[in-house]
Amino acid sequence: MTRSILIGMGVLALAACNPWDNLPQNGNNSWTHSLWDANVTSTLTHLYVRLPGGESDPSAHNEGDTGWYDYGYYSESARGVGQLLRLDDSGKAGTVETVNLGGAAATRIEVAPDGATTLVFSRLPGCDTTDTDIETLEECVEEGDTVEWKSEVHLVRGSSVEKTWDLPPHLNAISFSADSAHAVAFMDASLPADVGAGGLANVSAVQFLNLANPQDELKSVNIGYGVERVLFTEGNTKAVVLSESEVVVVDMTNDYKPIITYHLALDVDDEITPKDADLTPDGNTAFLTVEGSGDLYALDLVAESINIVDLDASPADMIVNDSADRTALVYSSRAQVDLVDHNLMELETISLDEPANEMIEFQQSGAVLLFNTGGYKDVYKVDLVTSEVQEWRLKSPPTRVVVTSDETRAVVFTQPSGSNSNYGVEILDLTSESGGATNLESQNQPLDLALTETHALVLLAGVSDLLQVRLADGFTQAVELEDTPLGIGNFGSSDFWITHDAALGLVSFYDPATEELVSIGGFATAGLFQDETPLPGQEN
Amino acid sequence: MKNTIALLTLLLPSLALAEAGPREFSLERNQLSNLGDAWNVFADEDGLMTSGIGFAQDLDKNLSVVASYHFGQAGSENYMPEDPGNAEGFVAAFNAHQLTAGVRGDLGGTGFVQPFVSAKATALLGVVRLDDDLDSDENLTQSQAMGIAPGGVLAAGISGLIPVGPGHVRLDTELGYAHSLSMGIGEIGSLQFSGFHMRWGAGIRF
Repeated sequence: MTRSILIGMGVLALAACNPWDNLPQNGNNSWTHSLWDANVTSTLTHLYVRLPGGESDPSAHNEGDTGWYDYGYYSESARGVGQLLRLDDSGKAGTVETVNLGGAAATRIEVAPDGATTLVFSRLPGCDTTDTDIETLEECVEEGDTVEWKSEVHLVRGSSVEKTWDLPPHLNAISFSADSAHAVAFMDASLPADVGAGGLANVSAVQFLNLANPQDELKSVNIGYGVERVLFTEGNTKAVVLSESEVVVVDMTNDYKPIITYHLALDVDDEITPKDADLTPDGNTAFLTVEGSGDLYALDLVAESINIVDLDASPADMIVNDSADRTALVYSSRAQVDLVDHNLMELETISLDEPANEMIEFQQSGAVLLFNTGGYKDVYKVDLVTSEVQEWRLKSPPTRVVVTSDETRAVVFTQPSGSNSNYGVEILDLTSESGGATNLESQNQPLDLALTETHALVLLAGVSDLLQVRLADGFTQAVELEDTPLGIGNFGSSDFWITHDAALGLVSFYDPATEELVSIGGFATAGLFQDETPLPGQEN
Repeated sequence: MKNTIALLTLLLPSLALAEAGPREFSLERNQLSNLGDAWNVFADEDGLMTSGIGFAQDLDKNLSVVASYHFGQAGSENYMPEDPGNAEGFVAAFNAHQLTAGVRGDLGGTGFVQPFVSAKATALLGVVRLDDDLDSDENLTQSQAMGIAPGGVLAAGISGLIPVGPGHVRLDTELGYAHSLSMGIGEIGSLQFSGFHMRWGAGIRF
C-alpha cells in the first residue's frame, strides 16, 4: 500500500513539471552551417526546402578523407548528405514530405515556367574502393578511401522523382522552353563552376533534357565556349544558343544537330558578348544586344542572315513583345525609348524626360514599364502598339519595381533622397489615365516584397512583423507571425510564403484575403541523427 | 508520461518475486554509452549517467534475479551561424528511462567481499526534445519524439557486505559491455546506445 502511494506521488510530481521549462544544457556544440536553407524554392503548389548534410563545404570533397573530417562532419552531428523537403499548406497544420533523391544531396533547384516542373541538381556520394564491404560513407572515410561525388539532376513534380540523369558538375546554368517541355543545361562562365579534378570537362558542350519525355537520354551538343543563354522557338523546333561571339541554331527535330552558326565578329580576335536576347513571336528572328555596343543584331533564322540595326548607344535593357510584335530598347545615358518593328525592321524613337535603364514587360497589354534605378524619379508606361506614353513622377528614386500579375498596379520601393530621409513604398495605378499613386513611407528600409493582384506583403528591416498593404487604397496592417521573418514570396495565385528566423525550421503560408496563417515548424530536424550514410550509388 | 507510468508498472512483477530468501533494494548510478556522432547534439561526453533504483532477490545461494529502473538526462546548446538570420541555435535534450532485468551469479568470495557476474536484458525508452526558443513553451519549432531500444548487458563486478542489524548494507560496482539495438526516433533518425558499461550502487540486503 505504502509502495503504491509512493509511486503514485512520483508520477504526479513528474506530471506537474512542464518538460520544456528546464531542458538540460550541460554541453555546447557549434555548427558550421544552418540546419535548413532559408532560401526556399517556390512552385505553384508547394515549397522545396533543402536541409544541408553534415558537411559544409563542397570543395572539401575533393580533398580526400582528411578534408571530410576537417570540415566538421564528425564534430557536429551527422545528417548524411542532407535531405530535400516538400512543404505545402494543405491540412490544418500544413504538410511536410521528404523527396527521395536516392541518397543524393540537393545543391540547387530550378523551377520551369509552368511553376510545377522542377529540376533538382544534386551530388551523390560514392567511395573509390574495391572493398565490397564498404557500404556507408563513414566506412569509406574510416578506411582511408576517397569519397567521390557524382553529379545528378532529377526531374521532380510534387514529391515524385520522375527521372534522374547523370550530369557533368560544371553545368551550372539552365534554360527552359516556355512550355517547360525542354531544358538545356550549360556552363555559364560568369558563375562558379566545378570542372572537377583528375579529368577534362567539356565546357563547350550543352546538354538537352527532354522534360516532356523524360525517358529520353540527355543529348550533348558541342556549341562553343561561354554559352550565356538558350532560347526556344515556338513549338520547340529550334534552340538558339548564344555564346561568346557566336549564335548557334540547333534543330531539335533532327537529333539536336546544329544547323546554323552565326559569327557575330568578323575578326576572331574580337570578343562579342551577348547581353539581351529574345525571339520574335514567329520564331523567325532573334534579336540580341551586345555589351558595349550600339548594334542591335537581328538574326534571320530563315534566310540565315544577320541584319544590324544601328542604335544611338549601347542599350541598357531590351524587351521583345509578342503582342505588339515590336522590340523596346532603353539606354542609361539617353532619355529615349526605341521601338523596333519586327516586320519592317524600322526604328521609332520616343523621347522621354529622363533616361530609363530597366523595363518590365506587360505581356497581356503589349506595353512596357520604364524606370531608372540610377537616381531618376520618372516611371513611364509605353504602349508598344500605339506608342503612347504615360508618366509617373515618384517622390524619390526607385530601388525596385514589381508589377502585379494582372498588370494593373506597380509597387515601387524608393530610397531616401534630398530632404526626405524616409524610405518609401509607392503604389502606382497603371489603369488610371491620370497617373494615380499611393505613397507610403517608413524609417525602416524595405527589404523584400511579394505581390498578389490585391495585396502586397512588405518585409521591413528591423521590424518583426510583416506589413500587409491593400493595393486598392494603401491600407496597411501588421501580420502577426510566429517568429521574425527572413524572406517572403508568392505562393499560388493569391497566397504568400514566409520563412522565419528559426534554427529548427519555420515556414508560414498566408492568405491575405482570409488572413489565415498556416505555419510549419521543426522540419529541419529530419534526418538529424543519421549516424550511417548509405552509398546507394556505390559500384565496387 | 504514459510511457513513464508504463515503465514503472513493469517493475511490479519483479517486486512480486519477493518470496523467501534475502532480497536487496539499492540506489544506483549507471553509465549509458553512446559513441555515435549524432550524440554530440546532446552532450560533449560519449553517453550519459543515469540514476535509479535496483532490486535483487536471491533464488539460491549463488544466484539472484536483478531488476532496476534508471532515469537520466543530457542536453546541450547547439550554436548555429547567424546567417541568414539571427537565430542563435537550439537546445537538444534527451531523457532516458531504462529498465533492466536479469540474473546475477556470485563467484564465491570471503562473505564480506563478493565477486559476481551478471547478464541483463535492457529496455531503453528515449525521449528527445528539440527547442530553438526557450522563452516560449508553445513555439511551433519545439519537437518531441520517442524511441525504444532493447538490448543487453554483460558485466562482472564486486560487492561488499557490511552487517547492520538484522541485515546488511551492500555496496557494489560492475563493469562490462552494453549493446542495444538502434533506437529509431521518427523522422529525426536513430541513436545507438552501445559500449562501455559501468554501474555502482548502495543498498540494503535483508
